[in-house]
Amino acid sequence: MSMIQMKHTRYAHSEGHLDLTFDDNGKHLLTCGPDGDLRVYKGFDDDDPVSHRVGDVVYSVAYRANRFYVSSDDNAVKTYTFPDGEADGIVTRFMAPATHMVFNQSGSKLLAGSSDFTVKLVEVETNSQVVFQGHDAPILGVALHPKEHLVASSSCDGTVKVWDVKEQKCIKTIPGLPKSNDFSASHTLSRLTWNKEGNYLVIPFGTEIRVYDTTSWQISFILTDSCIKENVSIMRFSPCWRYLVAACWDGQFILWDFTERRVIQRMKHPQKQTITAVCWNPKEPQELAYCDSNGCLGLIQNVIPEDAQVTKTARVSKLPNGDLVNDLFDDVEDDMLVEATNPVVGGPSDVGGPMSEEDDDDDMVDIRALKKEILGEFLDDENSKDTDVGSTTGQKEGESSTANDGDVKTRPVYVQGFEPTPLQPPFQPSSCPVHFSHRFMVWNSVGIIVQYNTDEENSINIEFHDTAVHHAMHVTNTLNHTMAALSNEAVLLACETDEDTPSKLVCMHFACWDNNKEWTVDMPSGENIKSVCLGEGWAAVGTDKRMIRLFTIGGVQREMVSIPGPIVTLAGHTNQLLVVYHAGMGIPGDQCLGVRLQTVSGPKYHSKLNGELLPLTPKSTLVWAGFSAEGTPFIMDSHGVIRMFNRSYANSWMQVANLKKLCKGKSDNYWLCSLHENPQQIRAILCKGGRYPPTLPRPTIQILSYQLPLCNLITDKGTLEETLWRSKLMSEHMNWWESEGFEVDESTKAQALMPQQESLMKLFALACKTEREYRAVELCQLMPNHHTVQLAIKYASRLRMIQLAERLTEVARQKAEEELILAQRALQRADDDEIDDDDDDTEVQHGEDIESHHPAISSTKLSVIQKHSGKLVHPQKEEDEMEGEEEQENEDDVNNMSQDLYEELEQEQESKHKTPVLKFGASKNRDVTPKSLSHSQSATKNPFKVGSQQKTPSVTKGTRVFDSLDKPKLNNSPRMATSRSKNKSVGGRQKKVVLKNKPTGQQKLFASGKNKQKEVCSEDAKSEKKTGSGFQLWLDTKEESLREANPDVEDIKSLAEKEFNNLTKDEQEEWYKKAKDSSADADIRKRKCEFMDDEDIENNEYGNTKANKKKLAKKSETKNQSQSGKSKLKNFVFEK
Amino acid sequence: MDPSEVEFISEKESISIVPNFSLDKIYLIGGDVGPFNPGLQLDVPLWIAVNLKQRQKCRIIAPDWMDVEILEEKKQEEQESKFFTKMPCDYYMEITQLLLQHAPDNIPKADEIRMLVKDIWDLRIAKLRSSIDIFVKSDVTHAMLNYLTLMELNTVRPFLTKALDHIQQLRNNVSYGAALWSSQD
Repeated sequence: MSMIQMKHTRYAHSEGHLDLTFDDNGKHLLTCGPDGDLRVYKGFDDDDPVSHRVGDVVYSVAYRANRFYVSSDDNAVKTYTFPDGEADGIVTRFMAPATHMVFNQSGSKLLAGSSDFTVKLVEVETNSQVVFQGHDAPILGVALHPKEHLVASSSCDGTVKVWDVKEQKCIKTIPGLPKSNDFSASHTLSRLTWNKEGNYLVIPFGTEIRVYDTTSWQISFILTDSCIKENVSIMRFSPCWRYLVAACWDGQFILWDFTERRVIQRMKHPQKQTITAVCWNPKEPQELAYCDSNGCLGLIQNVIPEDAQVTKTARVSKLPNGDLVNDLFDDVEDDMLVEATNPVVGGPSDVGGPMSEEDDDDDMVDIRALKKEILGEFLDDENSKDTDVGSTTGQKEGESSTANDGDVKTRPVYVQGFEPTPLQPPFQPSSCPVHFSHRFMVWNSVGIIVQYNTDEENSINIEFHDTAVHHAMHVTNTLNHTMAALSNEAVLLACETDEDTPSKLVCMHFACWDNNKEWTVDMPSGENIKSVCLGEGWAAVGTDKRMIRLFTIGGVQREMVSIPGPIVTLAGHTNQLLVVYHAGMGIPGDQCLGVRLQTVSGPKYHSKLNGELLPLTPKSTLVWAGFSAEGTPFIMDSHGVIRMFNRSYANSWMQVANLKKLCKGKSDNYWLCSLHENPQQIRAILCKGGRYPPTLPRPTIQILSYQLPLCNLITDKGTLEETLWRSKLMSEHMNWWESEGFEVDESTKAQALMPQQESLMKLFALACKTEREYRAVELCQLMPNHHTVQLAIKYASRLRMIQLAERLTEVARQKAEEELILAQRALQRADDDEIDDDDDDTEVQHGEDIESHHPAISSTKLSVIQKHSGKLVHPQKEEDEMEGEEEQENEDDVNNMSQDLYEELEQEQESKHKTPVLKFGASKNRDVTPKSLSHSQSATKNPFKVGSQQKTPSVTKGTRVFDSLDKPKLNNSPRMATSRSKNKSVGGRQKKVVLKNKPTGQQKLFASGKNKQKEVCSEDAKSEKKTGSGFQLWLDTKEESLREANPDVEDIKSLAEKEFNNLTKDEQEEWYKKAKDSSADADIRKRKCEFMDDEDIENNEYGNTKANKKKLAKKSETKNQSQSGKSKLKNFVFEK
Repeated sequence: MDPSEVEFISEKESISIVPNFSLDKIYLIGGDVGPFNPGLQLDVPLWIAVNLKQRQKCRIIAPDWMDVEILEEKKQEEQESKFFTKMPCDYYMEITQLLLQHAPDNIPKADEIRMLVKDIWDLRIAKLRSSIDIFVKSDVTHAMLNYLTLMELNTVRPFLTKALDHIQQLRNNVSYGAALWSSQD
């Protein structure tokens, strides 16, 4: 036999999509094309083909039984007689041209897929049709199962669907094919096919061919070859069903031996034109005809190499004999047979319900049996021939179950293994793919870097949003840079290895003050830069050697970090570095990305995240990773979901937006540029019908807003909750910066808190209105400070929800305490630092320091707080204790006094005071227990008790001391209680007092209104005024005038607070000092209170303690005065 | 009214720009403008946009209607309609003129747009003239014209009003003469 021979292509039609087919005996070639003609060639070399005008544009042609069928742009499938070419009617109509038609083997049914997204299976004779709807784009290819119970179709929507003919529904969808918007725009024709037995569905899948098992719909095996560079477009089984030819988009032909799954021939279109149609000569299996998009017709002869067709020769010689039989079979007999058998076979199966595959098998057997009967010895003859030649053309109809079984036995068993998901390639955040000729290398909040990579031009344009940063730059891209990073200081460009030249990093440090603004670093040979990023004063590159190399911005090499997997991307911000790498193989379809977040400079190096896995939407890839302008890490995946790193909640990631949902079109995407938390902005570019923006015309940035995917966002409650959590989340960065030692402007912080409080209040109001009191309390617990809770209390009492208000008081108290503790800790921390500096300081001094510098905080209180925090661990226990009698409780408390309180402080105090230890301890403990009670045990006992206290259950530091001292004196007058409330003392104790002793008094008070209360308060305020409460002192002197000025204001206290806060720092300081001075007289004044007899001693002693402390305080006062933390704390007291 | 005055009025129209500098909100009699963030789109009055563009401080974003397709449609509509059609912008001529003069680099397909706007203008002015012609000839006292822009009105205003005055005068004279004549009889 001769060698493979590719005949020169010859002109057939004008350029475009051509289709061709052979007639049944392989003598005629029928082609059609965009010129609307159908040409009939008598063999390939026919110079004078007959033309039939069948339409304006013809998309597809099929031939069966002396008729040819064409689909043209009048959206119909029409039939014409052959060879006369006379119109013979319309088979079916679509809304758009049919793109592909196939016949079943008998030729009775025509399957056509159309650009109107539908697939139709038409009975040619009866014109009855089955329609399959479900694709979202024009159909590219269709294939009918040999047993005709299944239909497969591929579409521009990127899916292959398998349909059940009986049920007319899709039973399997296989996604992942290349998508396009039209048949003409598609880069593959996706002409899929079934194998002879119908147990495999063969789908061209990009550059490979996937063979699906039709029972499990799993990939059975994949056919691929290294010389496939472009999408596989068309696949055709040879008439003998053994060979599979695949035509690629670039004109490459690959011939497989399908049974052996090996490539046996590779051919190439001479002009590398796109192949639009391929057809085997049904009678000459060595001939393959094709059409290309250039409008040419081609023919390949001797396709199958001789060594691959050992069994062929015999058959070929017999062919003329077989022709007759086949013709008979194909054209006439089979049709008759099918028609004849259908009523017989269809009857019972209809009765039995939907046909199963076994039924189908039976049908086939039945048909075969019938054939045997009808054809008699004629068929025997053919069968014998079939057995001679093995699997060849002749066997097409003579399929027997035994042959089938034999096939199964001989075929090696391929086990469907785990198929790894391809790892996503490394990328630069906010950049377009490298292969674009005009692409954005970076678009961030600083500027834009555009790369032009065309034949004429190879350059990089750097533009800055703010021309004040730097003027625009234009660089010729000689090194072929593909990666870039941009910050306020520098531009970083990097290229990969190119043959001889190593991978290079170029930094243009334009913020540099000397004249050498540029530096270059070569990577060691064999190491390739995959990702770059810039921080503040440093640059980092990630290489394919799994290395992160750090540089200073001036070009000094710094640390190197090895990462456990291939780099995906890098991002930098100030001193933070975010590294994303492949941490392993994800579950099928998913990426498994590890993330590392660390600091690269500054006093302490630490990694916040080390090797945690990045959360991504299922079946998505990472498309953006980086920091917000405020320095919080964010990521976006290919499904448009943006996630934020939540430092305050266990270093978790939280979805904050879904950009895909904001897109109007299905194929639109947002391309993320930068993110901001304050104001809450997502800056992104809308890319219509794509993922990446064009460089011209210059796209405009759109500002999008975050939205947490909470439930019920259509309801008020949902939106408010969303606002609450979003604002909370977006203000977290301030806390973080503060913890990192940066100063955060208080006003911006307060501003950021505003929406949070607002939404909380609204939610609270909503809960109140819907009478969900429990929820209201929960909401109050979420409130940031007790001040907000007080507003809630006011609101509740206005709504006359007394019980709610009652409970809220507890919450407020709790809040106040927590705040106090926090402040205390902050203070302590500040002092600890101080002590670290000063080696001479002892612990005792340390404690004293605190008190002396912050007169508002007494030593007792400090210890109390320590105890309290220690005790909080066993709230239940304490609760139980609280059930007991007052005295008993005292004892219990003493016994239970936690050992972890400040022993030094206690000892100091004990030694200084001559008071019985027990009593003092008890008093302190009294402080502790009710507090814990106030959290755990609600004040259900007396709903009215709150009356006065509700209004101002807040804390002023220091007052607690007196509370603690007062505590044992259970026969307190109501005046005491109110005074405490006046002093914004912590509520727990007061409540206790009130609860046990003066319910009626309280009630009276509640009823009698504020005036009386105030009178009492002013009195008590004086008596109780503690050292250091500058505000109290100020209040005392100013109260009268204030009241005169604002006769209608009830809450003089809060008004006074405001007034006091309005005073300048210096003025406040003055008052503090005065207060300190007057503290010496405190005990004397206190004596005036006749009801405090019992307490006198204690107070006195307490005063002494204070005086002592003060002395110590003054020593270190100057040293500490400047401490910002402490002065803040002072303010803190009055901000409540 | 001078065309420059009409242009001045049109400069109040707002237009989107992308500034390349940062500036806080500026408070003007006509309203607040800003804040300017580099790289972020914002709406400013046309006069600010033109001024900033002249100083190379911003990139102007062409208004939505300044698009070849939309204008072609508009032109078609204008051609087919007997009457005036609504223009996408009341100051289409002035804005096009200003933008094409000062920021042709920011307008995609500037030349085509210039042509289209000119075509539309010509169509409308021709329509205006013919309707005035009919109006004057038909001897009616009033006519209604919809959707005329200020600039278009302004092209005919000085002449038309004067001409009508004269016609009126002549008519009066004629009727006066006729009356005189008849009284002499």
